[in-house]
Amino acid sequence: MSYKVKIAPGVKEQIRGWRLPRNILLEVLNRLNIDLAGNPDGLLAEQVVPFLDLFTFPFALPAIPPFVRPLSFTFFVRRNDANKELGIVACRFVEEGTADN
Amino acid sequence: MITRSVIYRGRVRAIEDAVEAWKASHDDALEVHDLEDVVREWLGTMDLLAQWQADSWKQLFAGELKKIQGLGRLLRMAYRSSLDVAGLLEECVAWAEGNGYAVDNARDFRQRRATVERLYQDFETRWPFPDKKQIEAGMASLDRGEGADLGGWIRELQGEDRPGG
Repeated sequence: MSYKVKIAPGVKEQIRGWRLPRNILLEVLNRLNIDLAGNPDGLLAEQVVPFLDLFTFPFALPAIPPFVRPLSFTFFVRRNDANKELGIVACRFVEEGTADN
Repeated sequence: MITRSVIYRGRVRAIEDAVEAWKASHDDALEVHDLEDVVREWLGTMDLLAQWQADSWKQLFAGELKKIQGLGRLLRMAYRSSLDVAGLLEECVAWAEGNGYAVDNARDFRQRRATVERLYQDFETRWPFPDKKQIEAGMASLDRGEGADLGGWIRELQGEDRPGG
């Protein structure tokens, strides 16, 4: 059974601020809502100290126009097994060779 | 990842020990050759750090890194220890120059030190470390029940593609 994915309002605003083209934005959101929600055991990578229930979900996308370089995304995800819920509480986005967004 | 860090830490520690030994014993021109050896070793160690950093960026953007936070902490320690020991080394080089000795590679050393400082700033800015304030704010808003259903956002975006959506 998939987990339900909730996103904090500040994170949603931050992602909107990245101004990703819709196809890339949908790819990113589907990674969270389909891939991660269906396989948190396999995809949550490492615990974020000192939070016991917070984990990273990192992934990269190849250069997709208008981006000319690969993209790296890291989401910080609070896992609640009792409610089968994943909460996105923070995120980072970096394009290869540029300053962080 | 850990292996590279252990090797790197060992090399920096050896440079620290060599600097301390030199500071305790320098008293003539011959000893400046020892200092030049330490400078050469530091420059070689910085080649390792630059390669380690380049490999890490490459792996990050290839999606090959899972323990991003762990690697980030190791790189941060490597930068800090390298720059700390560079500060000690600079004192020795400046002392030798102040006493009329020319130190081989002194110019390269100073240029490289500035480059490593720039690389470190770039690393701290761009490496995807967590922002603790953002995390705490995000957790608090979820606890207040303000979290939005991600599926709803996706449906909203997909709806924009449909005629009349």
